[in-house]
Amino acid sequence: MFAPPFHFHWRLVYVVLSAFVICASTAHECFSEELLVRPLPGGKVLIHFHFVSQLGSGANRHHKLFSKAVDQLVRKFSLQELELSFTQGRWDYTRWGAAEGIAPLAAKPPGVELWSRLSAESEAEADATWRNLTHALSGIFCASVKALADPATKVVPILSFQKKGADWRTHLLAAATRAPSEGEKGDAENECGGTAAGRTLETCSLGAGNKEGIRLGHTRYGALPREAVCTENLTPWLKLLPCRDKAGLATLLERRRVYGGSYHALQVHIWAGGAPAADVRTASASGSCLEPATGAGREWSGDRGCEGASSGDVGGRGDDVSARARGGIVLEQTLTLVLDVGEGVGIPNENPAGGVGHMASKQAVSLADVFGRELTGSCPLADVSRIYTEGRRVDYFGEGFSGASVNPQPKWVWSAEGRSKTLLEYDLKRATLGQPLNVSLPYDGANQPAAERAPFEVSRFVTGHGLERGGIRLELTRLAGGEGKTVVRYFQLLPWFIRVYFHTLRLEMDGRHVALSDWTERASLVPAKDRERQAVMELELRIPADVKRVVLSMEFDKGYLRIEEHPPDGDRGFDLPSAIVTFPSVSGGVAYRMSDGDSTGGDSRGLEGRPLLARMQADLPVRVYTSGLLIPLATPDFSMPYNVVTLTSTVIAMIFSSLFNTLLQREAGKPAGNAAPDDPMGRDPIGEKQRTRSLPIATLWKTFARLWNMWVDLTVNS
Amino acid sequence: MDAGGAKSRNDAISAEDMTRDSGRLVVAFIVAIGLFSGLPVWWKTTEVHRAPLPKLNLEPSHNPLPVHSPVIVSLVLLLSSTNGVNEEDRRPPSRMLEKLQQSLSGLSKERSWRPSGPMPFAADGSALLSFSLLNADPADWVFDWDFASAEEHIFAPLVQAISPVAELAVESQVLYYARSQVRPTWDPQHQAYIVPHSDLPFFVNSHEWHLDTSVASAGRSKLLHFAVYVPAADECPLHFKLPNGKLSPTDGFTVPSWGGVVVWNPPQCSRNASSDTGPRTIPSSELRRILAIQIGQLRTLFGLSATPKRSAEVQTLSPGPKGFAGWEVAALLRTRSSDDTREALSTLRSLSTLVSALSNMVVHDSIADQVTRALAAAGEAQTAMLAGSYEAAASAARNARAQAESAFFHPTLMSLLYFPSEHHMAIYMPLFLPVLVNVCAAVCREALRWGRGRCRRRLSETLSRFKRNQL
Repeated sequence: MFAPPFHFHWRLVYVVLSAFVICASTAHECFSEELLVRPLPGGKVLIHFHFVSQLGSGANRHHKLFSKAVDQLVRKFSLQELELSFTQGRWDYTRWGAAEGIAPLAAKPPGVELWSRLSAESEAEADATWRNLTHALSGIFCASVKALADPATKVVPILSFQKKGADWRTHLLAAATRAPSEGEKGDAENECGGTAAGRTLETCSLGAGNKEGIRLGHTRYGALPREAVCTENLTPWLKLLPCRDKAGLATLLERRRVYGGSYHALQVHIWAGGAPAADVRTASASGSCLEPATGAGREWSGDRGCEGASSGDVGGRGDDVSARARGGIVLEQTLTLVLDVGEGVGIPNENPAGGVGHMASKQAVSLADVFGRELTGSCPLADVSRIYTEGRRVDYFGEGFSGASVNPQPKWVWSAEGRSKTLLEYDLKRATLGQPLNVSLPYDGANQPAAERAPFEVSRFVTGHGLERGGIRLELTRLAGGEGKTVVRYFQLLPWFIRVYFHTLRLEMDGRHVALSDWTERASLVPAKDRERQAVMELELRIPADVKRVVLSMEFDKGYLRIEEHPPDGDRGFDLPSAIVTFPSVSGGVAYRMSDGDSTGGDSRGLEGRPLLARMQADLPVRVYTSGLLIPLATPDFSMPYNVVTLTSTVIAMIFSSLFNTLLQREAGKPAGNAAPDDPMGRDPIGEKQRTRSLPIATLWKTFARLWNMWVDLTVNS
Repeated sequence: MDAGGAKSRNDAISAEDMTRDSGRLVVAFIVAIGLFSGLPVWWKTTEVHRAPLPKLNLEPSHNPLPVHSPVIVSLVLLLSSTNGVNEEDRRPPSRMLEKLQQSLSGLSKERSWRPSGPMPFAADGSALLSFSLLNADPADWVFDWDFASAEEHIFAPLVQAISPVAELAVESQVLYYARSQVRPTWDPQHQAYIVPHSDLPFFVNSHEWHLDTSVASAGRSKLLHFAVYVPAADECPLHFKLPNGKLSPTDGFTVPSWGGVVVWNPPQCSRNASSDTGPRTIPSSELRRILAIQIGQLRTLFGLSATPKRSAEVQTLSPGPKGFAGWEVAALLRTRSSDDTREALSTLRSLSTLVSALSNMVVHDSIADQVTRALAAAGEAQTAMLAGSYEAAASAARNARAQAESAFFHPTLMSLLYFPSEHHMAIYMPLFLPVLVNVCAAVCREALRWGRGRCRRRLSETLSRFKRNQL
């Protein structure tokens, strides 16, 4: 029943890995810098900086290039994998694409997103590590990542990120150093982490005890949709680069241009591979552990899988951990910018059918124009320093483009398989020294090829009104080119104060209500606990080929927050992090083949030494992040505590004073209480009553006046 | 009132007397309850918890002792060494004693043993030595170093040797594009670029030298930076000038409680020599020389002299390959015990000042416990020092300081709720004001009645006297 939801091209991974690994030896440290420029429709250019620092598994803790902070982070928190992104702006999936090469790397949700896999013996230990990790990251990147340390924001994803955890990058180093014959075992682990349902994985980690937890890692996810991103995040990010922004491609990062664009995503990815031996053990162990569970509904029996795995691991845990600590680390830093290309770019007509000003809008865009700075050279410490420009073949080799003003000259031409795009590769290491380096690409605003989009357009919004109830509605609209049966995975976080009723989940296909269970492959619904846990909703839907529009809706009640739980601007509403819609059946990879170029110089024709191309070729999951939601909650009157105090005090004071006065007045009004009750000579009760009934102030005033008169009489008389 | 009602008024007055008394009683009762039970209850319930801190005994005897002045340490050591020399005859000859006296006077003249600042490690005795190789301009040349073997052969024994005093950890990194802020001037006389002594404070470029990359640099840990500066081609060779006009033999300087900087000039200061752009490694002999200078800087930070001094009178035992001689470690340990005790007491004093200054600060019982324990440990350290058992004194002093620090940095102290006494009053005003108005009104009324009653009595007396006189 549970078919593997994604296809793991292990052979392809090998090709990719061999290329990704830029280091010659395992004890070596390497650094590569690359830049991809891609024209986008609407007068925009995408610029993707891609820096990879690699620490070989044989390296000791004294590094020459690799960042000490990252190494210490990995050691201290036994990180297996970490991905942190700071994003500003929204990725335009319909115009900038979602399903090809750079888009899956570049598209991130607004704000901060962090997920990591940690080696830990238990969930509690993983939680503690996660808490410390968020604090450390806050310190390193000058951001409020530590807000994720709050247990109410912590999330243990089950379907979505486990998959990612087991994809090719985990084994980046391991595979590079391991003999190819271990491939099948690696594949087996992939099954374990990737295709097993969360229940299975939990069962596994419970049944297998601590060792499984260490091997598979515990996944944690968190997102801060409101975090503002600015230069204070960029500067520490640059500090992780050996050349910082003093030399090489990063010198282009002129802050005003960087933050003036439409989109900006700063990312850090860390993969810490265990030593090869440890990883092979991991692979084989977990593979056999989860094998029964990956089959259809059979009950998992712990006899063979986990037990066998544990006993098979003779080395024990200490060995494993120490091996991991000595393992290599890959640090990938990317910065994606979508910038407007100056004023000179005319966008006369975006409709290709219009044909207006085809040639007029065609012009060259150079890096110097985009950033207002000239590139002076490559980072001398980088092993690889390349720039790629993307465009259509006809643009480059047609009439309008002359490469004369370009230094260095393009060296290679890469063609994307099955696509009309072409990449020109420039090697900065071969640039003529002493001349300003510049690279330009033909920009044809009118004739940009359509971006490759995801099969569905995704939108999510809040329904309902009022401060009591609401609903969330997810709409998937099939786009042209996205035909066929599709598997969609939906991941959504809901803070505990959004009390979703899972029974109200309704699925509509083309306007008809259908039973959710009929179309759900797998589901993991973790209800929230007040102030302890977020609700996590993960669904995997199978959408038939003929369905054009799918709507998933649910209803929720809004919880009431305590007064101290509201942010300073509580009336603004609460941000819900972006939901993630993944299309596991769509491959986001683009395979590049060298089609033309200067074959002298002994460069290899493969992807070796081109980490960015290798990365784009990898089988990246196609993901669409929905926009965040803003949900207004009932806010209390923030001066309420004082009001309550005042009101209570007033009531008490009133009770006291009436009691007090009564106490006094009854005594005053009943002199007979002391005298004989039937004394005919007693005072006139009515007159007395009238006197005492009058207001105390008036009485006070009268007595004062009488006293004054008496005093005056007395003094005059005497 | 008409005269006919005089009798009834007289009766009423007598009845009113009774009423007056009971009303007065009620008012007095309420006021008494308010004063003697309401106020204390209010005071008690709105008070923050403040555990009583043990009173600090600030007598002079509690100040750190002069017992372990390292001069005496040296005396002990010298005596022991002389004893070793003259083991055959138990009585040292007078010539020997004379020499000893001479040495001692020379020693005390020559050295100020007490380090000027605090010892260069954190309160828990740990410090991180962060060694950074700074390449000013990698475009000219790139140097790296074989620090792993240096750590194994040089720092492992050093860390081991100093471990009774401080726990040192060693880290290294290579940084690039880390130019100094100082622009050196060309000195034709020395054929070198010179940084004058007055510019040394500006040599460390805190903007470009990203030294604090260690995760351990957060918190209360101590980080000592040792930077090796490889100048760029346009400032090579680079030398420091001493105040006396000579060139510095080590080309290094120390910044108290920060670390030290050493300049290492590449062998050939011409760009042509680096036709190979790949990184070159600092030769191991050169690296040894640099690290020897840096170990000297570390010794300086610890308050020792960089290199053991030798003169006619005084000959000290050489630190040897470990960087610290055994007797130096012993001396440092005693200094540290003294420092720890002093620091613990001063921390406790600050804490008590702080607590007494901020009357709204919550003081938990655990803090009071820690203070008590710290004081006890400090006393213990003092006793042990007087008794001469320095090991015990060191551990007790360490404990005292740890307790004092953890009391001072207790998170509950940090989260002081700002709630000034004005607010304290103001928040209860809606209760107090109406109650007080009522009570005050009643008091006034009673006072008036009392006054009126007296007047009436006097009036009636006067009237009756008048009547009697009339009659």
